[in-house]
Amino acid sequence: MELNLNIAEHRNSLAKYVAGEMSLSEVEEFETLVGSNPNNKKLVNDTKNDWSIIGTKQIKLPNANRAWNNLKTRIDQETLSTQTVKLDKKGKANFVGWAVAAMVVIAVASVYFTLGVQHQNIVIKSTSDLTTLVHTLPDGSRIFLEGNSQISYTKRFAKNNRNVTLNGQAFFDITKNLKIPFTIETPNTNIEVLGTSFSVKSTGPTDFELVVQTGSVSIKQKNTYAESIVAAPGDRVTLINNHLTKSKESTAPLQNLRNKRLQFKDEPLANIIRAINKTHQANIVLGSPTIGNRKLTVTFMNNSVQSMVEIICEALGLEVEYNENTITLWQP
Amino acid sequence: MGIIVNFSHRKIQQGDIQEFEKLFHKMYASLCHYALKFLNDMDSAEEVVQDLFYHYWKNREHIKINTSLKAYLYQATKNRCLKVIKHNAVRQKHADSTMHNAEEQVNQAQTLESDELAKIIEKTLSQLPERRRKIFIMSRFDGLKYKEIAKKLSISVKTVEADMGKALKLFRVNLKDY
Repeated sequence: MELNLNIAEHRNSLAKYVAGEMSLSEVEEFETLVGSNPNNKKLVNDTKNDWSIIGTKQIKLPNANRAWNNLKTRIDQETLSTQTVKLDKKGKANFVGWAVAAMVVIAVASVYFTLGVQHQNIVIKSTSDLTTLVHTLPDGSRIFLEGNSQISYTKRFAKNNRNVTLNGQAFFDITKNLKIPFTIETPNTNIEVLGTSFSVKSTGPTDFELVVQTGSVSIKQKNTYAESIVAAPGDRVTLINNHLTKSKESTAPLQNLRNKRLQFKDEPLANIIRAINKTHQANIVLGSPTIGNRKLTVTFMNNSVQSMVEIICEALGLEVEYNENTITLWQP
Repeated sequence: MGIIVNFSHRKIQQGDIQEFEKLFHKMYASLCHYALKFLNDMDSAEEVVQDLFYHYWKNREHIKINTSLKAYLYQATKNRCLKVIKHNAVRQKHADSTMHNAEEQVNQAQTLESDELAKIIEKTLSQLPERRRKIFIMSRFDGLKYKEIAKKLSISVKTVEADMGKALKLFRVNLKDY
């Protein structure tokens, strides 16, 4: 019998044969059928050949996951530049302003930035999910903002003060500046530092926890006459029965960060690289100086250094070179 | 069906990015294969579809859809592809009139040839109906067994067999000259 591709039974058998879907007895039976007509052999060989060519050629199939990441980055960037809410001098928003803000926030959900003109407050708020928003302040200090947290500072930050307000949890990596101390106001304490790194959690009047990674930190409880407490690396300070209490902490806060999803919103590449170098103790350098200014909005789902580097290169069209200890990014 | 899909459009209009993401993952591959019917390579096809989704999200509030969302996306993909073709034709005309370097032309022709088989395979995939293409990709590229494919797509093994047969037939026709 001659095999014919127009006969469903024949072509189905042929497909099963080349795809390796036949049992041994079926193969035997099929091969006997093939042998019964000299023309069959060519068709079987051609089909086998097709099957192998299809499998060995480099075929481009659409990659929905990669495409979605590209698209999401594009949309996020768009969102950032359109969400601007003005706050008045005292930092209190007027009603209309907040109504507009609320609408925008509801519409876009996710993370929002509120930027104003001089004297107005900048509010950075993270989403309720598990990502850590990494934000670089004008003085180069970095804040790793955990979910459900908010930080705000005035537009004049770093000019004559370095004051921020925190509600929630964050890791601070503060740039040293002996002239202008860095202060953090939480619901129950005021924290003052010169140049150090530490994590703070304070979500309400009775909740407070601070763990120092490097340097020293001075903490003063609000509305009491109690002296301020100074904490050193490895120290953990908590609020117990309305008293600041010092104990030892074995896990460095930086270590916890390494397992979090890191998120950057419209950050210059140089800042992103510095943050990754800090958290992962990597040594990534920029081979072409101008690329440091290029901005990127990105969430790293897999936080190995290599995968983060790959995503950055893909997004900005950069090349990467791995040497012994350094990873160099450069513009081809 | 139409009601459900337009419900999805309304949710997206209200800014529901999760719904948008769901739609994207559901439609992306199919639209890319559809775009490839008009265009030469998968990169351009992907670009067209991504741009389409970007503009759909950006202008979602103003977009009125009278058909199903699916039909709208297919039509929009087609329109965008035709635009690209027109644009490329103008560019090609310009290139032809400015390119004097014969060697360059020869090199270009050679690279085209070596990629030709891959192109034919990609084009053939895009000619297959959606389900048949999915089945074929799962079998040939993902190495799944008929049984596993049937289970994944909630169809019978007989259907997988039939689709595989038809897919291979189309490949045989398109690859006849190679």
